[in-house]
Amino acid sequence: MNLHPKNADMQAHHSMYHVSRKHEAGNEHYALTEKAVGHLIIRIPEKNLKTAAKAIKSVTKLAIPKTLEATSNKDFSLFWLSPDELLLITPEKTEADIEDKLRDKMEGHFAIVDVTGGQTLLELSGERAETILKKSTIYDVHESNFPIGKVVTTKFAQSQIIMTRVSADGFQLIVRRSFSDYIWQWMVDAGSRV
Amino acid sequence: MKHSNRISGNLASNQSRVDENKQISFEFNKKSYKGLAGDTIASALLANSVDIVGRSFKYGRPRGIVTAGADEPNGILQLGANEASQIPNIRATQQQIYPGLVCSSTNGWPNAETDVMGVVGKLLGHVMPPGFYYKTFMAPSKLWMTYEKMIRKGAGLGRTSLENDPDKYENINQFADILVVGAGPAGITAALNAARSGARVILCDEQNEFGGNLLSEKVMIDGEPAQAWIDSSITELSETDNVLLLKNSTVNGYHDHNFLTIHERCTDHLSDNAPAGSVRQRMHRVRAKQVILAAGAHERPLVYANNDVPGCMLASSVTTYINRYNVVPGRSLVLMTTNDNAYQTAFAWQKAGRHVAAIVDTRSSAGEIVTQQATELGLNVIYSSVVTETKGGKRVKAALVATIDADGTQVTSDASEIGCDTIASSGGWSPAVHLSCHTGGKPNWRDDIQGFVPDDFNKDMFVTGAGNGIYALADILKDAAKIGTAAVKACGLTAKRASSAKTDEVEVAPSMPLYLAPHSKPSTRAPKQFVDFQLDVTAGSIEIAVNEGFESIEHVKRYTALGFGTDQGKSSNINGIAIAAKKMGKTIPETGTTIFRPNYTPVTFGAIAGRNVEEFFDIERYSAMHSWHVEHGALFEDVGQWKRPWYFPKAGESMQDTLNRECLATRESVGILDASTLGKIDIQGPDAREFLNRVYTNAWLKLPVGRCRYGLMCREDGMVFDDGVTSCISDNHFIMTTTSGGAAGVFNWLEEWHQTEWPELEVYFNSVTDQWATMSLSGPNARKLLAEITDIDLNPETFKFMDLREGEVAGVPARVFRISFTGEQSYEINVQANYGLAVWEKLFEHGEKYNLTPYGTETMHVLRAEKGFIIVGQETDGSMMPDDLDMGWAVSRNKEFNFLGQRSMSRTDSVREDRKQLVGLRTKDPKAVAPEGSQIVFDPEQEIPMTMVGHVTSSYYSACLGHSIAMAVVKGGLKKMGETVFMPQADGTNIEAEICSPVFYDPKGDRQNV
Repeated sequence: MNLHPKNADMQAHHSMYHVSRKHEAGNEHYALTEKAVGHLIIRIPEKNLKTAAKAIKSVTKLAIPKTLEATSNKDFSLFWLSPDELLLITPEKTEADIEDKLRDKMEGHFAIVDVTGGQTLLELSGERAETILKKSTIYDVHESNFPIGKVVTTKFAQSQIIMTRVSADGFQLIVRRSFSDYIWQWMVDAGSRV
Repeated sequence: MKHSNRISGNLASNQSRVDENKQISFEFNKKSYKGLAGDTIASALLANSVDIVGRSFKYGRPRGIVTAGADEPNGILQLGANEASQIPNIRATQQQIYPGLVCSSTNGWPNAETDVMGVVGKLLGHVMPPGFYYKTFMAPSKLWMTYEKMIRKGAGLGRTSLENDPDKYENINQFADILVVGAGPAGITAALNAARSGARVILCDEQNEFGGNLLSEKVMIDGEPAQAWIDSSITELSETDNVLLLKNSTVNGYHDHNFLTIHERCTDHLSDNAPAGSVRQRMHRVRAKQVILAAGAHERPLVYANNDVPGCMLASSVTTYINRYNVVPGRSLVLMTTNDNAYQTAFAWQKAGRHVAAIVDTRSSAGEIVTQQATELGLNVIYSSVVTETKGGKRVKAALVATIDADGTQVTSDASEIGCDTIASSGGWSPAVHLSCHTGGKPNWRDDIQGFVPDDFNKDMFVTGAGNGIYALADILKDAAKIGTAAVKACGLTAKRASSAKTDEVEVAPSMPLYLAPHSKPSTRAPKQFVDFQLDVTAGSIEIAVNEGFESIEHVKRYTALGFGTDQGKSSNINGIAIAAKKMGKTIPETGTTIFRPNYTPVTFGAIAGRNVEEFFDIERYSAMHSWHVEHGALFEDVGQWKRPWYFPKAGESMQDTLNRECLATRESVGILDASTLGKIDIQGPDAREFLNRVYTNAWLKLPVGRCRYGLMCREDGMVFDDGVTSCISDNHFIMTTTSGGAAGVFNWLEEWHQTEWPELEVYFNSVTDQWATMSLSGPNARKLLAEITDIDLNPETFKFMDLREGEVAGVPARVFRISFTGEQSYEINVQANYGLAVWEKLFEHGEKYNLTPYGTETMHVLRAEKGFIIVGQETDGSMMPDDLDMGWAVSRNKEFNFLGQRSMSRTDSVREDRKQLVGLRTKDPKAVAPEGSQIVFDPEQEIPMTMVGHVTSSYYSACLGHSIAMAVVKGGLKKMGETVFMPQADGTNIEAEICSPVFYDPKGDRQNV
């Protein structure tokens, strides 16, 4: 079901619109931004994985990522979340179309859930980015343990997060909408000091 | 002020770490002093000839600085220039001075110098024998509060601030291949070997500089003064990738699985409060593959009579003050030692231009090297002797010296008096085994070094240096290099060849195992021989404890309070154990140690809490319309972590005014509630129906597409734990709603049953709580308003109560459910959360003419209570079954597969007639609103304790009905309709009420069906 209005004047307010903005994000040491994209959760039991992989490949040109990894191209990113759970990031406002295409091609038992409004994608980068993560998560984010393309779902401050490294000092974080204000402010606070 | 004890010029140490050109003013006990950059409070006070830093805990005796490190028992200060910056338990020996530092004695009232407490202390001493606390707890227990006040006033254990701490503290997570604890010669060497092999290394030290004991001792490494080696090593480490160097950082806790906590004091050495933009302290939460303990050792003082008089110090600390701080803490020294190493103290003292009155060696002879040096310096060495007793009150005036027998148990001569103002003692060294014990390790006694060393309890831990009983520098460097490479290999990495710096090997004579210097009188009769200075435990009191039958060292510890202080008995433990062992006729290993627990030195609460304070104390979850609620003056209620609008007061309204207005507007025209926080679970799969059928109490197999159904969820015990409406979107696609607070619990519940019991069911659950913004329109004008901005056909003949439709609302694709929690004509509009605010605002644009009124949870509570709708968690408490709620209609007992909780519903206890059952209450006085939680009785005249038959679960004033309404659980209540009950109140009044149906408004449900 396409959940976007036909009339583009209808204002969309992404998660970060509601950040209480006690602090401004970013300084010369790091940058934190929100990215408007589509989010689809895909659930596939192991027995249907082969046909699903084919369907996903034909729609997104992406292979199913290995455990704790992501695959991505210009338009899409596919995150491994759990043994039967993937997160597909699509270009903005295309998620319903992609969902329909996938549903057409997939067979047997599976689930696709549009969570575009329920979570958001943050991009964190800069020389202080890794330090901000160290102050926030109990996962070892050192590049030797958390290289480019690795995806983990982990505790983040008192909340939780899905994160992946996209470059030496660049990360993508997937945050649930209702927790986003807390997480945003936490990171801005953490980034305000060495 | 004159630095009477500061040495300079020719006499100064060539390795001092204080800066003569940087004077720093600070305040101690309301007096101003000057120290030098690099000084600790202790070194600066000693430089200023301040002898007394506090009064003792129990006896109020004057006490001075004893050590130069974490083991300090006396110099425990209260720090802070203003109320907000107060910190207790600061060790004067570890705190750097900074401009404007203000500190004071914690023990000592009215102040440490005057003798008022000394007198009271003597008095207290008599009423506080060993085991005082236990004896006091026993009887008469009521007196304890009196004692306690007196003790606290006298002891003054420091205090926390009464104001909020303005500083920021932080936690940070660190990972390392190898964590090296302690940056003395061993730690630095081990870290160098680990880092050169490419391991991720953390090297930390509690001192403000790296180097450990090398900062105090005069030694050469690689042919140069040790400082040159420290500097080049630290430079190399700082330039190596993946090496983290932390100074002012104490490893305070060694927890399971090599998780260690490091307490870093980032700005405590700079100023009272952290400079703007910096954190004051940071807690590093470290997970290390391997840990190398290079924590060093603590020198043991010898125990002798009146050994607590200011001027009695540890030998090594005297050396430290001279070599590192250019401070000689006295004029005339008597050194008592059981070993060669402590001779260095006398040498340094002499070279600083002060008088060495005597070296009292407990042994019959000393090693060649030190003997030769002592002779060259012309020092008076007295062998086979001890200092039995100190003369002096506020400062040592003389030492009484007597000869002893070969094993040091008895004096063999009369004591002769030697004038002096300082007595330095050394009974050898105790490896700092503390961290190795935190997870359960039991240290092993080694006779050859007369000390405990860590055992191998922690599998991924190495120990090196003095911390493992290795004292010769040449041996330390070699061993640490080996340990460093061994740790690298243990991480699975390839180690480079071990390498270490060179230093001269030094021959030493064996030391003598002696802890208590004998006195002509037995310990219980001799002047007090202090073992634990901080808690005033004497050798005599330990012997009394043994005499009274305490055989376990743990019991002796608790009976005497040995090692109970903030110093955890660092300087007293081994002496106390040795004295107890001797009294019991056991060896030290037979006696064993007490258990060391985290933290090694006290940690501030700030560092533990980190940033999880104030705005980050708990998560605040916001709905997509939150900003609108804030702008429109909503007050908020916490529901789980959600901030939900509670009510929307207008200027001048009381809370009840607001509720009345919101309720009436909804019943008369139309109201709107932000229901986004309700848990929403997307359920997909061919077995979704079957799954629902098993977890809900009612039937789901025949729910048509496009219809909604209310369901109760029970645990296996048949008790209701959640409720909500689930809607059928397509044959294998459902949307379940849960209570706002119960969403995560329900989700886990579904997953648990699916994953562990019914994995064969093909169904997936996904939380979509945050995906949908939900707004509930309620009231007779709801349809009219919605019709203005939707393309959905709202004809009530086709879009009936409990139907679901998809369409557009305000141009935004939406799911609209005709479900109601108010009993009015209701439409629950769901749109993708990004558009929630826009749709909400559009509704208000069109709603003005209908007086569209936003309401919060409180009005929602009143409106649903008027209809007798339950709130799980308010009407239920985990002991209510569907029948107790008179909701048997929501239970289908004929399902093919038993639903969860079904079997429990036929237990004898479940079908008792006198179970508490949900009913309505109408108060006799229509205006009386019984407080929620009021207990219910049938007979108001009954004597206390009265027979309580239930309680009020919900209670409000209903503006629509013009009287109060209440829901309550009453034993057997469903069969007592019309009967009278009473609610006795705390003020002695009774609220009288009649049991009725909980459905107070529109009992036939006409309004929601129109």
